[in-house]
Formats: sequence, C-alpha cells, structure tokens
Amino acid sequence: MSATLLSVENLRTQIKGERHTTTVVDGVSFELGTQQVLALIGESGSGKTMTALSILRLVTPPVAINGGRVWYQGKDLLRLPADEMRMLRGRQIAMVFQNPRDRFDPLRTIGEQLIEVLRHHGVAQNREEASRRALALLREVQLVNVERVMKMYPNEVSGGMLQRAMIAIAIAPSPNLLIADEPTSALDVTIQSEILDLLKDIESTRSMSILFITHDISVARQVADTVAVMYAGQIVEYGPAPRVLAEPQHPYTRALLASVPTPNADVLHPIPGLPADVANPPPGCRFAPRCPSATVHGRASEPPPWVQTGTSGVRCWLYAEGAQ
Amino acid sequence: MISAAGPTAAELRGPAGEAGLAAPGTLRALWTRFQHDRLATAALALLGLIVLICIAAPLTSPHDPLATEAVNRLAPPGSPGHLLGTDGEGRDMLSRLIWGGRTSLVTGVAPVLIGLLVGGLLGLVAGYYGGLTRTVILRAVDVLFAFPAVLLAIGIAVTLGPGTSHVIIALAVVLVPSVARVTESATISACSQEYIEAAKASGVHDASIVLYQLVSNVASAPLAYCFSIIGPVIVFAAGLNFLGLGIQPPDPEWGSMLYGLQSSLLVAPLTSIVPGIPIALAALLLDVIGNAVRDVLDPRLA
Amino acid sequence: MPALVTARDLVKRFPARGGRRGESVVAVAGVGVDLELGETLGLVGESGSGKSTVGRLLLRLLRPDSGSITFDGQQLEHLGDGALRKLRPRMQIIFQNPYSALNPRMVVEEIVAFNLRPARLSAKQRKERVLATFGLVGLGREILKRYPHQLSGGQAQRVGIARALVSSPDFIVADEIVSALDVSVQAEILSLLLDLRKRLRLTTLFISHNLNVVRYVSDRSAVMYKGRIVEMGSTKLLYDSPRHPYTRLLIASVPGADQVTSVAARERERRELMHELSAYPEGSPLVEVLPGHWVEDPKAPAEPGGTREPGMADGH
Repeated sequence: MSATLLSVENLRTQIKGERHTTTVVDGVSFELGTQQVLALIGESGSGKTMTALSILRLVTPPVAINGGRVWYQGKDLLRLPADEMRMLRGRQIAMVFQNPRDRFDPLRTIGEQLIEVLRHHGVAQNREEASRRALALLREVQLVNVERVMKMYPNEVSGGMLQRAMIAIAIAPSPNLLIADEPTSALDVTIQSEILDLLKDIESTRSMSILFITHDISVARQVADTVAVMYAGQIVEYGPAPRVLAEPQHPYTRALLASVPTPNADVLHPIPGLPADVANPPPGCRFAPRCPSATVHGRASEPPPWVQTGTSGVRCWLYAEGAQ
Repeated sequence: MISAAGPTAAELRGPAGEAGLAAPGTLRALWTRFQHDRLATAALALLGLIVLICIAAPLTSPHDPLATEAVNRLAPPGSPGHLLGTDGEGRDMLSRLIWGGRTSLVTGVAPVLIGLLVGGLLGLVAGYYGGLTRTVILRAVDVLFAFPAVLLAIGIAVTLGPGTSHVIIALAVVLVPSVARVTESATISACSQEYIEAAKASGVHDASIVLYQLVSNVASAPLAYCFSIIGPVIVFAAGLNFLGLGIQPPDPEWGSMLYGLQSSLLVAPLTSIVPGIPIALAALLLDVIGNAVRDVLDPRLA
Repeated sequence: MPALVTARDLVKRFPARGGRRGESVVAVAGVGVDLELGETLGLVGESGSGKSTVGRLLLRLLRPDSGSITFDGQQLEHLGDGALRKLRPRMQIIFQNPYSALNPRMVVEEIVAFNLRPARLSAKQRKERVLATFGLVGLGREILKRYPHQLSGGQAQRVGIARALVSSPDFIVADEIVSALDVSVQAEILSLLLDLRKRLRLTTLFISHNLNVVRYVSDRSAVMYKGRIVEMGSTKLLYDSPRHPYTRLLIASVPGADQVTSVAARERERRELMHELSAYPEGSPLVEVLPGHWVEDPKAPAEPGGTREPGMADGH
C-alpha cells in the first residue's frame, strides 16, 4: 500500500438559501495514495464536483465548507492561510476540467499561455527555458507538430488537442495531485480513450495521484485504482476498483452497474424513482425509497452506518452487524 | 410571407382556448405578477395617474396653458398660484405640463409601438426564414441605418409637412431598423434551439410556429428595448417640434418646453429643469413596468 | 420486407465557417441506407461524422444537394413545402437535450398538443390523444401544466418522446437521445424505447456516438466516418467481427471494455489501427462481405452506381 497523499475526513459543504440550507457534501471521507487514481463516481447532483471544489477551497458564497478536514502532506487545507492555499493551488494540486475551451484565453496562442504558466510558477527562469519546457510538455501529452501547436490559437485546434494542452498546463509545475473533473465527457470515444490512457501514463511516469471525477462507470473502470460512489452528497461505497465494479455491495452501486449498457448486457434495469432531493433528503437511508432491498431500518429515520471491511466500506443497513 | 401562409381563423382560435396558449394565461400571469411586485404596481398606478391627469387636462390644469403673465416670468417652483413656477413668457408651468403631456405621451409611445410592430415583424421574418429573405430585409434596414437618425427623421417630417402624426411616422421609421435588428438576433438565437426544429418537423404552418412558439421567446429583447427608448423618443420628438416640424408654438409639449427654457438655465436653474422631470419620471416608470412585463414572460422566474 | 425509408447517394455540403465565400464543408458524402418497416438502424459515429445530418436529411428537415430519399414510396428530395407538411406527422424526431428541445414558455400539454395541430381535432379529442400518449410513455397527468424547467431530465425526455409519438408516426429519428442524461435515466429511456418499438412497430434511426447504447437497441448498425458509411450490417456481426479499421478503432476505444490489456498494449493497438485507417483509401465502394454485412473495400472496382449501393441484402 502506497503512502497517503490526500486524506479527506468528514467533509461537509452547504449551500445557504434564504430559508433552507442544503447540505451538498455530507460527511465525505476518503484517502488517496501516492500514484493512485481515485474515481469519484456519481450522477449529476450527487456532490462529486462540489467535493473537488471544496478540497481546493474554490467554493464561493452561498456555498460554504462547514466542517471536516482535508489533510494534504500533513497540512489541513481547510485551515491553511488563504495565500498559502493559493500557492498550493495549481502548483501542487492542479485541475483539469470538462470543457477546456472555457479555460483558455481565446486571444492568445497555446504556447503563450503555457509559457506564462511556467514562468508564473517559477518553473522556468527565462523565456527560452520556458519555451523549451513548453515544447517538452506538449510532447509529453503526446501532441505531434508541437512547434506548430505552440503558435496556434485555442479555436484552431480540436477538442482533444486542447484537452491535451490543458493537461500540459496542469502538469507544468509538476503537481503531486491532479483533480480531473469529467475530463473526457465532452470528447469523442476514440479521443476519450486516448486521453484516459494518457492520464494513466502521466500518473506512472510522474508518480502523480489523480482524483478523477466522472459519471461514467466504464470510464472509472478504465482508469481507477480505487472508486468512491456518491449518492445524494454521501459516499455510499468505497473500495478497490476491481472489487467494487465486479462485486458491488451497495444496492445503489449494483443498480448503477445494471443500468449501463455493456457489450454483455441483455437487459437493462433502470433504477426506479427519482434521485433523492439533496435539499430535502429522505430521513433514513437516502437510497431507501428506490432500493429493492431496503430494510425496515433504512426506511425508518435511522441513517445507515458506515461498515468498513479492510480497504472497503459501504453505507448500508444490509451490512450492519446483526442486520442479517 | 406571413400572410401567404397565414393561419385560418379556426387555427387561431383553436389551442388558445383549451391548451391555453399565449394571451389569456399571460394576462393572468401579468396580473398576479403585478400584485406581488409592489414596485411595478406602484409604477403602473403612478403612470396611470399621470395619464389620467393629462387626459382630463381641461379639468385638472389650474390655469390656461397659453395665458401669459408678463410680470411673473420664470417664477421659481412653489410660487403662490404657480405650483411649479412659470416659464419665460410667464405661463403656468403645471398647466403647460398637463396639457403638453397629451402630445408628449402620444409622440413618445405611438412611434415606439409602430416601430415595435413593424420592426418586430421584419426581424422575426428575417430571423426565421434566413437566406435570401434575411439578406433583403437586413440590407433594407441597413440602408435606413446608414442615415443619421436625426437627419432621417427631419427629412421624413419635412417631406410629410408639419403635424403631430407626421412626427410620429418619422420617428417610427427611425425606430424600425434598430427594433428589427434586436428582434432578428433574438430570433436567430431562439431558432437555433431544438424546440423550433421540433416545431418545423411537426408539419404545422410557419405562421403558427412563429406565432405560438417563437414570439413569446423572442419578445423580451425588443420589448425591453422599446420600453427603455420611450423617454429618449419624447426628447427626440421635442427636437422635431423645436424645428417646427411637429406641434407648433405656443402649444405646450414637454420636450419643446425643455428646449425653450434652455437659455434660462443660468438665470433660473430650478424652473428650467422642471419640464425634464415628467420625461425622466415617465421613462423611469416605463422601465420598471417593462422589467416586470419581461419577467412575466419568463415562466422560469414565476 | 419492404423498406419504409430509402436513401441513395445523399450528399450535403454546408458553407464553411470562417472560410471564403463559396467554400463548403462536405458533411455527408454519398450515403445510402434502407430502413425496413419496424427495424431500428443504429447510426454510430463521432462528432462531425455527419450522422445527425443524415438523420435530418431523411426527415427532409434539410434539403440534400444531391441524392434521393424515399419515404413510403414517395420521393422526398424535391417535394414542395405543402406536400412535405402533410407527411411530417408520419416522420418525427427526438432530440439530445431534452430541455432545449422543449419550448421553455409552454407547458407540457401545449408542447405535446402543438404537434396535433395539423390533425385538426377538437379540443377534447386533442386532450384524449395527449393523455393516451402520456400513458404510452409512462407520464402522469400531473405534469400536464408544468413548464419544462419544472421537470426532471427523464421526464423532460419522455415529454420529447410523447411529442414525437402523439401524431402516430411510422418513422422516428432518435438523435443522441440519451447522451445528455444521467446513466440511471439513460436506462429508463432506452428500455422505454425498446418497449415502444415492440408495441408500435416503429421504424427508427437511432443516432449515437455510444457503441454500447447502439448495440443495445438496434437490429442493424451503420458506422459513419467523414461523411460516409464505412461499414453496415447486423449489429451482432458488426460488433463481433468488425472489418473496417475505423469500426475496429471505435470498438477498441470503448472505455472499460478491456481491463486485461495494459495501457501500453492498448495504446499500441490504437496506433496500429490509426495507421491502418490513414492508409485506407477513402470513398471506396461498399462491398457485401457476408449476407447483409457491407464494408468499404478499397480493392473493389469503383464503378459508379455499381457495388456502392447498400440496398437490402438478399439474405434478409
């Protein structure tokens, strides 16, 4: 087992409304080891992106972090002075987003923007060095004709190329942790698969850790060492990717897997009902109203316990002691 | 083009009743909305009051607006007998404002309404059909745009000869291009939405698509533009009047009163700006009302 | 079995964006398809491959630059607006984004009832038809007066389906109808589509970039690449023994399909396929390699009007 790089404990993030406060991240805990990929899987509204933004302290009012700890290399990021946090962001923890086009300045070339990042983070002392480094980075993300790419504007390249350039910018200051929020969801399948493998390559060559946020279980299957499945603001299942995706324990994970078409699936099983409303969650287990195996406990007002077995954990009454 | 493929009377009656399209629902929504929006209700009430006072000018005005009082020129507001003072000829300001409101409100609102209808229709047709239709309409609009608005209005008014209705027509012609442009771009963006493609795939006539699906989604931009432009149009109309193209002196009208007092600005500053107050007030009230109307048209804000 | 929709040699160009006057991009470069009555043909391809354009050409929402389209025996390519309008209720479309496909200022009932306008029904009949269609797609009458923004993604997509079905169409183009939905909702919509197909004998063109989804719903599949269909055949055959390098590349790119192979091996396989693809001559004729399985074959003689006619195979 590798050393822990990031440890999130009981993270809580809320949106304060005029009348109602909604807890969008509700007691999320997980650990991410060095050179590991953790996939945070969830549907829209499950709180996966909010979790990532909270870790980076990038939430703005009315959203606020209300509790928990985020340990990164012995420091609690939630209690770090703002300027230290700013130094950390981008330099040690970088982020890659779904739509790279929104993140680039359309009026400047990719090269200029890459060089600026390198100089800003003090990776390169002068322009020539920055330029040399930029070329190397573009090659590292497997772009071809890198001299030409440097001179191109964001609107002149394809979405796949731009996402590679975005990754180059993210890894420029050699971060230890990369947070990738649906980095391939807007891309074509062939490109998606290339980018996923590129991220895996970078992870191993640079000994980097990746927090990978996705709604797509198949994508998680391709990249993740560990997965955390989120539902209505909570992690409902956590464990090694092969185990969770092959033998899911939580009824929601099972239902999610059964609802995705795969080459071997003959029948799909939609999850009945609507996703839980985080603003007004059901009293007991949040998945209970849609759960085929909900117990009396789950339907009642008692929240299910977190049942930890080795490296795996599940938030479900079915696995609680004495529940059998 | 619209009329060629126009909906039959039955079609127009059809869904508006049962499946409640456009009119009745919107009016009801407008009413509920205004009940909840105190600011808009107050604005509407105040504007209504101003309009009523102006309509009932023979009853509401304290003096004859044309009667001069040579000894009492440029009296400041609050002078005995003259609540808002007197102008350079010693005429009662309040009475002139009340009488002048009749002309000013009409010359402010009527060209905007005409401009909205004509420009809106042109913009809708240009945006919806695109291609050659759009090119022809937009080129024609550009030709109008090429003239400075003031010169164009003066030119038209001079050609038609003096008269309030001619000023209205001249101003309407000046407004058409900008309304058409605003409507056209709103239409283009609405037409890029898939629901318009779905409507086109439904086999329904173009006129019904424009009427039932497009207008309500496009309306807010030109409406907001039009509500915001009534104030300036009143002042603009005053300019034409000042040139002797509209209403003739000594008949009162807000804009020409403001122009008339310009030269007295240093002598009697307070009195000189009095005619500007109703113009600014009307513009402000219309803006508040316009915003409320726009909100009503958007069910997402309901 | 007779074909309900037939297209031959469809070509569609669009004016090039940012290009000079008269420059154009070829979106569809000679596509031919047949859709049998009641079948679902999956159309797979990446963005820009021309698959959505093909769907809109078949519905004559776009006019082809050349080529022919037949719907139930009628030639569509030169049909006038009036005649097309009469046919429209019989051929419908369902869109990708359920929200932008629904007019934000109309309530659900108005949205669905709008498509009944050509049928000239009474208000009562119209309401009955809307409710019957609601039953078909599993929507309750409580949402009749709701606006689109008050619906969940799944509900909104069902409304989109109800609108397409309310005029009892024979032919449906489903354009990426689950791509914008959450996975659990996707399953719900796909199951509904399968169920409707059985009950209504719908002929469907199912357009998607997701191979797993297409595989799940369609009888036959066609793969589009750069405006052409490069391979077409029964879904099972196509996925189990793909011939064209592009089809193979697509299948190799499906995420999570293969965990045994290492990253390096996967990257090597893709590189080889890309290489093969770039060396593969474009625009070769389609050749029937197995009954009903057509593949672009550079070795086939390029006779105009010859083999490049993926008509109904004899084996069908």
